[in-house]
Amino acid sequence: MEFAEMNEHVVKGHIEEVLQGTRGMLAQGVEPLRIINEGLIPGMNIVGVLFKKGDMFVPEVMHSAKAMSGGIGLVKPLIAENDVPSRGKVLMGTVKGDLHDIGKNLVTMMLEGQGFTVVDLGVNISPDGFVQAVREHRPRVLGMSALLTTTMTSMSETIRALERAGLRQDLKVMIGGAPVTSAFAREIGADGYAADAGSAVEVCARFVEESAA
Amino acid sequence: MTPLLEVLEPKEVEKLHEATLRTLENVGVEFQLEEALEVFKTLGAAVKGSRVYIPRALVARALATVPERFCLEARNPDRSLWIGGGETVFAPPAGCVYVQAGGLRREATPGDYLDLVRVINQSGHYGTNGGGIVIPGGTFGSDEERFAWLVLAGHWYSDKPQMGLNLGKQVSQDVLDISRLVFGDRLGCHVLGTVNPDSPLIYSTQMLESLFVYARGGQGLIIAPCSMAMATSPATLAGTLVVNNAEILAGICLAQFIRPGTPVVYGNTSTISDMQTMAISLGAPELSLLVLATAQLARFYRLPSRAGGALTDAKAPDIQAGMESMLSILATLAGEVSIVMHAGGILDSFLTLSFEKLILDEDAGGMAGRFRQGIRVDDETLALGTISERGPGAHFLDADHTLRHFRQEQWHPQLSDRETYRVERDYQTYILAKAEQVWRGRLQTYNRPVLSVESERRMLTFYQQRFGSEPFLV
Repeated sequence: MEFAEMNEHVVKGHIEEVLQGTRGMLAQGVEPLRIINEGLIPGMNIVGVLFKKGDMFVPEVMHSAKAMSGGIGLVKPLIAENDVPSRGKVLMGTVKGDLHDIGKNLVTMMLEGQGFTVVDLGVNISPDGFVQAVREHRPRVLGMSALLTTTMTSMSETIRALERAGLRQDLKVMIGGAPVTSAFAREIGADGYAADAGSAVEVCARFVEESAA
Repeated sequence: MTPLLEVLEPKEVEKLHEATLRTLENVGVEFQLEEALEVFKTLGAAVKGSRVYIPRALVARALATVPERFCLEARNPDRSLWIGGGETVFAPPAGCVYVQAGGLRREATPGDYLDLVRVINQSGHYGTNGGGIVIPGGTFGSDEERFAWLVLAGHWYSDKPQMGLNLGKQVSQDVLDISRLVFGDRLGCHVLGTVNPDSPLIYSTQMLESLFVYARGGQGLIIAPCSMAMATSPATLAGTLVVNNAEILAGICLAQFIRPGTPVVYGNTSTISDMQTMAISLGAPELSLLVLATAQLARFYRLPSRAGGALTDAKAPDIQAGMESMLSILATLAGEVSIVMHAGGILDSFLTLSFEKLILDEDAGGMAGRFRQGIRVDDETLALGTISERGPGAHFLDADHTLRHFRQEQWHPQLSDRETYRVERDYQTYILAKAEQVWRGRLQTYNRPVLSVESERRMLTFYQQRFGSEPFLV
């Protein structure tokens, strides 16, 4: 299978074909990193553009992301961990008291689809839980989500806890969820706010570029 | 005839019912409260972990004890209402975080809530009042105090039947305690609260605790999921109805097993999640189809229903808001839903309550209500006597027949502009300004319905003892 054909299968979300193509390329001795960089990621980049234009929708993007990560899963064991291309590490979680995770999962999926490495902590994460995870994983970005107005306050508590732990400086914090607004983000001292999954990826990309510059 | 809009063939209803029973038996529903699991275990349902597999015999047993309709009592008995039995009752919004008035959006305050209760108390459209019309910010000692205050203030300023609030055991217990102080020894259903399963197929601890409190107290419960087709229920509307129906019936089973005869309403507020943003979409035509199917399924089970509203995703009371709200309220009325929460005022997918739209939607509901009444055809309405008496070329304005009928036959708008074009008038703001005049006028002419001194004293003492502070009442 050619790289272009593989890209096409990623865009169409053809999981079986992508797995088959990846295996074929590996058997032919194609360098593992090239499979990721030329066969898989460019397909997902096309998906990103089509999604933004409104020509592709969420369920289709999820299938493309699944196809891509299926391919990466086959290639990954063959390369050193540090060589796996990543645009940066993002830690994601729903705050304490809140069990809603659809929005957070969607952001996670979109970020992975766009080449970020995501550590998903799950739901009902306490300020301490976030602090420990930041200490352990050292992410570039922390994303917090809440659906309930009653749990939004946990976001500012988490930011305060990160400050006290001395982990705030090298970390960008973005927040989102139905009741969250950009004004609220400014008020509690978060670095960014995303209204939906698509813009969460843009916010992350901006953070990573800023810290690279 | 009166046009009753139904979107399912009888055999399609049967198919949905059968698919639901199979889901309940084979997939089961998760109940995150030990006490609930015990109820099902005692009755012989299979329970694995927190998942309950409900056999069809238990569903049938529960459905046999649910009242087909019940009276929701108001402290002023003239304002008590029947829930179920063919009439549609309008209820105000619930749970809005923001208010919009005169074009500005801001966080709701306790003062807004009191104003809303006063405006709604004087409305001929909204049959019920109170509950958490908006959830105001402001300084309360705790969320429990905030919710108890909402309930107390609802009773204090309105003599219409009150909607309840549920957020776990303590909040629900406060709701029932306050109602008891108002109603004293009067028996019956004093409050109607909502329990929401978390789609797909989960009842959370908080909601189950509330369900127990209401059922044990014999108070009214609306069981209503709010799934978003494609995200928290299948992408197809039929599949969404199967998941929702399983959730609702599972909740009804529990309420009936706790206390047979508990008044419950078959509710559903599900809609789609937008394929691009994943956001909930209330203005979607799919919502209106689900409203019609919900009402129909409730009739199939011989239960009162709750669905619909004047719903929109628009951020201002604009053209989008008008189009979407009319579609959903028309479906609600034409489908003969028993009680409609969010029957006016909603903007921004439940997040915002617009004072102007609260009034505008009274007209939308009025139009839809008139539509639902249909065309009455009998010897009197055929008007043969008047037609022959007047003959060709005459008018009917002063006919006795006209005088007898026109007020019933025509619905008359409170806001819609049916005048001739006026050069001096700004039509961009005209109708909103009129709506604003209406709600401001009601605040000016509001008189608090009398509550006995004894009840007032009991309510204040309760609040002070429970929270150690005075309730905000102005």
